[in-house]
Amino acid sequence: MSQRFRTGQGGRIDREQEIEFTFNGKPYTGMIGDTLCSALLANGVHLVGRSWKYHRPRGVVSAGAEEPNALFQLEKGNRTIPNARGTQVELYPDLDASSVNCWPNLDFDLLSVNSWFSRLMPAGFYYKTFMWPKSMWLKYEHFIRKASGLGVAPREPDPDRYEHSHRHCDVLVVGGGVAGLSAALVAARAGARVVVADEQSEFGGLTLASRAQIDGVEAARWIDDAVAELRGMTEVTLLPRSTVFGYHDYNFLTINQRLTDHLPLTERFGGREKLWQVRAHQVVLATGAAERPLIFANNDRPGIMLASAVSTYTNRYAVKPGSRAVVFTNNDSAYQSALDLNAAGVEVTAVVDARSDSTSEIANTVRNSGIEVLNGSVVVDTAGRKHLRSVQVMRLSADGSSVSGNRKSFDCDLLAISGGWSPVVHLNAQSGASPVWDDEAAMFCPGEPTQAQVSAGGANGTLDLPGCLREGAAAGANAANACGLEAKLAVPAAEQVDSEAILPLWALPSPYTRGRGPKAFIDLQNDVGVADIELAVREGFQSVEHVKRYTAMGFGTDQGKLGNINGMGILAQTMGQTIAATGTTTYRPNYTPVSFGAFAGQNLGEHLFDPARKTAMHGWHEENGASFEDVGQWKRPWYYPRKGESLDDAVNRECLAVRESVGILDASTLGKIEVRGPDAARFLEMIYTNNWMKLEIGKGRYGFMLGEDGMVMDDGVTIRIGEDHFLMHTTTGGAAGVLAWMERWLQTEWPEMEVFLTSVTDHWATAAVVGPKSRDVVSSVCDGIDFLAAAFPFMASKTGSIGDIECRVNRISFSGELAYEVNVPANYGRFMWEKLMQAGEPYDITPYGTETMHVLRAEKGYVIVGQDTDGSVTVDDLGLGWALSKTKQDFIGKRSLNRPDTLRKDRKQLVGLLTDDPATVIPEGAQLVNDPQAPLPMPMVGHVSSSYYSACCGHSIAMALVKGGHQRMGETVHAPLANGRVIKATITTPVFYDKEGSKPNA
Amino acid sequence: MPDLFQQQSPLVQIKLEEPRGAAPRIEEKPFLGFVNLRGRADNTGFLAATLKVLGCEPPTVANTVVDSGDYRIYWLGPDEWLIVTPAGQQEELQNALQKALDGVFSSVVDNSSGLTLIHISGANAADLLATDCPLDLHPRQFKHGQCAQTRLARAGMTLSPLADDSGFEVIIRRSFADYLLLWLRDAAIAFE
Repeated sequence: MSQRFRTGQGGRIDREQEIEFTFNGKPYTGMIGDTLCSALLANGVHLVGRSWKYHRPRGVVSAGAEEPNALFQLEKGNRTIPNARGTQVELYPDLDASSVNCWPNLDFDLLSVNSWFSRLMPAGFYYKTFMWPKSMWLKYEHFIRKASGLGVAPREPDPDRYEHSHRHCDVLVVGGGVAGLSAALVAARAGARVVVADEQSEFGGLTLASRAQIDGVEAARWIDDAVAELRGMTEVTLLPRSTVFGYHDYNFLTINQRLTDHLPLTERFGGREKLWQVRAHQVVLATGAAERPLIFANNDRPGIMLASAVSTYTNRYAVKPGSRAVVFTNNDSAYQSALDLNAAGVEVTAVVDARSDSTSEIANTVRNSGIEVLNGSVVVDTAGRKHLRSVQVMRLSADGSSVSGNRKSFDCDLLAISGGWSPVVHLNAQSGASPVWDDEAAMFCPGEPTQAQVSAGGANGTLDLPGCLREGAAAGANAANACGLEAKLAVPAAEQVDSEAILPLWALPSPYTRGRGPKAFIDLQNDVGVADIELAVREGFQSVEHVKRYTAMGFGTDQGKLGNINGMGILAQTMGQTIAATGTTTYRPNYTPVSFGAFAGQNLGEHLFDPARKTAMHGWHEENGASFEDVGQWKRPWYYPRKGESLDDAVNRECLAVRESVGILDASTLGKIEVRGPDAARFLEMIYTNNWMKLEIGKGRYGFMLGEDGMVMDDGVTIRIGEDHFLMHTTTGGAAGVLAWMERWLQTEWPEMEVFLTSVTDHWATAAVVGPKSRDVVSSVCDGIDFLAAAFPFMASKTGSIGDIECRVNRISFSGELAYEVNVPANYGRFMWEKLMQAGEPYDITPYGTETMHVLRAEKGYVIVGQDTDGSVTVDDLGLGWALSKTKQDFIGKRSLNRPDTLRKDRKQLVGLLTDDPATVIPEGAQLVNDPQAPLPMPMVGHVSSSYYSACCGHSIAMALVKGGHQRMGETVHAPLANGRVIKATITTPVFYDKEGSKPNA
Repeated sequence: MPDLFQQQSPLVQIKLEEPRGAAPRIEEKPFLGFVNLRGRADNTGFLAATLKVLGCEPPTVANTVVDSGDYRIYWLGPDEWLIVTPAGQQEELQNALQKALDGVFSSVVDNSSGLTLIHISGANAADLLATDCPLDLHPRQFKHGQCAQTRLARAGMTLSPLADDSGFEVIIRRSFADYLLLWLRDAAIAFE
């Protein structure tokens, strides 16, 4: 076994399962149960990365989510993961990891020259230096991005599946340490639906690294028993490897569970991650506390590690994080790390304690074990380029403001540091609370919750084991009781260990002249030092949010989890104010980075990204070679290319077939709404701009709906089926909106109206049979209807049957041809369609799609709402003022039509355009100008809304909205294109075909 | 009565396979009748007329569903219900209701081709739906006799638990049926 730093016994690793992995191409071994970092440390690998700005050598600092340095690129190709925190990557066989942000390699990084010039690259360096000349920024940026980037995003599609799940529960316990487990046990025993989420592979939290006892057994054993009991309860969901990354309103929390990342690549089946969206009646935040580092010169060398991480590596992972250690602290908790190291066989040279005295039981235990305790002393500098070699210690003055005496040097390759603890208040803060500074404990504690939530244990600033157990159990009981259950409070017992107060320290006094000494880092990932905060304050930044953005403190993948509280302390110190007055930066989701795949879930690809709505005839269209177009969420046939045909070829053929014989269009997607009740006609009078009271039964009428602003919102034909009964057609895309719009008016403004609305869009399948031969086709299929022109005039509607199936035939036209729309219940849609196709065979009936439909209607100047209108177009702008009733007292939007702006003569108005060259089609969206030679910026007078080649007219045709266009018939406009070409066109009426409009009445 | 053999279900292009592993069973109950009924629940004339035709009054407790022999009546709103009938009986029901409600402010609309009904059953039925249905489907909260209009993935559905917690009845719109079944089939992979 090459794991030279593995201890002989203990730990929660599986010593039977030695596994191989590679780091920067070199093979190593580790154990199942290791993290990538614990395995590297077991092999004596301390240099794991380079810093972001100065490319300084960096090592593992922590054992958790706060890790700023040990970031890795995992695997290669389509499964590569950038910036994985090695402290949270579970080791698996054949794991392939490499460092990020070093070039050409970790040991020899060319860009580490940056660190020689670090004094010349302070906060704001990039802002100040590369802003001039402005035109060069893009080039600088390219270099800076390459130099300062972290990992590399995969370039290939992600091969993994990602899952989603919604979950409701009585109590969500965030964090499965001893506080969280106590809470879960009490709540679950009361019958609550409980979810426990923990970000680690096993429950237990920091206590997994503890040698204490709970309820008379080893803590680890108690944890195992608690988890086993919870697992046996049907209403409990245990989510390991699950990070609660967002706390939103109404106790809605989002959890990302990693399902397979701990397995070898070859054994990963099923979803990789699962995004849980949880609504909880009560939330218990048992997220623990995180240890803070201490800030001194050269505090970033590999081998300098949080004391709690040292205990975790030693006790949980059975790894010696060094051979010779110094412990540096300002509080009692690090003394335990000294004992843990000692027990693991690591020589502890000294405990350096900034406090002038330490007399607690644990301090004395350390002294009694033969370890020197240097009270009233601090570490002032360190040595060792790629691995810590020694630390230098000086005496701290009684007021803590300066250091004095000789520098005492201690050889060591491990420095365990503890600057105190910070409750992990992220979720409490995300949920709407403001963290509160506790001066005595020197920590931000959770603020008063604004949601049904309680913090317990370390997350609440309670650091002792009995306190965590007590608070957890009480939180669980209260949460269950708040859900109407009866909880029985049971507090697990643990020995109380006394501890002495912390001596808060932010920027430590230094023997160096201010600004001249080696860098003392606050934010290791972004290379932000004490001097950068001081500079920001000198340059006038005062708000913690501004200082963050100027110095980059708290950005990056760790979001300042390790350094931010120290940074706020130093900012307060520099500004001579309290930390409470300085405050924290804003805690936002996500707590740790979440992969995009987790958010997307299964909603990917052609079929699942967005619903594809299909008509009853969809299969026929597919079988007959249709190309489809998305209209709203509907898949509509766009055109039906025959072999070798282009879009233009097919559309020209389809258009001519309709004009000369007969075509058939699937019109099922149009919105259809039944409007029924004694006030139905009166209601339509308000909804539409024209008159409805006198419409005959069995007749239809075209109408415009306006918004309250007077602008065209939707249009369509509505048919009067009975005295109190109408069938409304809406645009395909507008159907749902129109129904909601009308329900809103009925429910909120006109509740006295007796009108009921029912959507029947999906119930009816509709085939539009269009062209001079349409009567022959439809009359041979539909029985019980007299199709003679006199009996069945334009805009009439009749019912009949196709075989035994009821049908409704509407003689309406969106093409300007003789046309019938045949409707049957959609279950018979395909049957009807095939009957019509069969009957149309003698006339070479031609199926056509939306493109031909667009050309045919444009030839007639019929508008499409949403294409020729954009929410700023009135009925008058369209030249269709006849549709505005002059006699009605009111309709929605009427008042707005008299606003000065809607009466302007130079509004953009709908006109036709004919190009000089009949073959030239102006691109849709093209801007129009009067004088293409005019100096820039050229005044624009309109834009093209619809434009096609019309085979029927033998000419390109276009519709455009042109300022004052109705008064400009015969005048010339120009469309300058992006490629420099200018198309000249003449303004005309938008009706290009059958100007007298006789055909639909044939 | 129309020739039922000419009908096609909205799911004509989807092949529903036997469930694999622990995936729930998904089956369509095609060609049922769906009649949308609207009226004012405080109108005694409306209630009396519907009682006569349906054999029971339409439920007035929000989000409940009642069975009356042949019909299953879903509460959709304070003045709206959906009546599910056996295949082919919608026309008869529609006519009977319309006749009974003559002169009463109401609306009876056939939507039989606009909807279809599927059953999702098996141990993981609720979890399959919970993949992207935001409602609490736990039997403590959502029992047989209740119904809800909610969403599944990016489409709407009307949902009701089957008897004995054996699964769910799901009513979906014709045009979204294809999408929803493709989506369900994909979501079911997590249980296979």
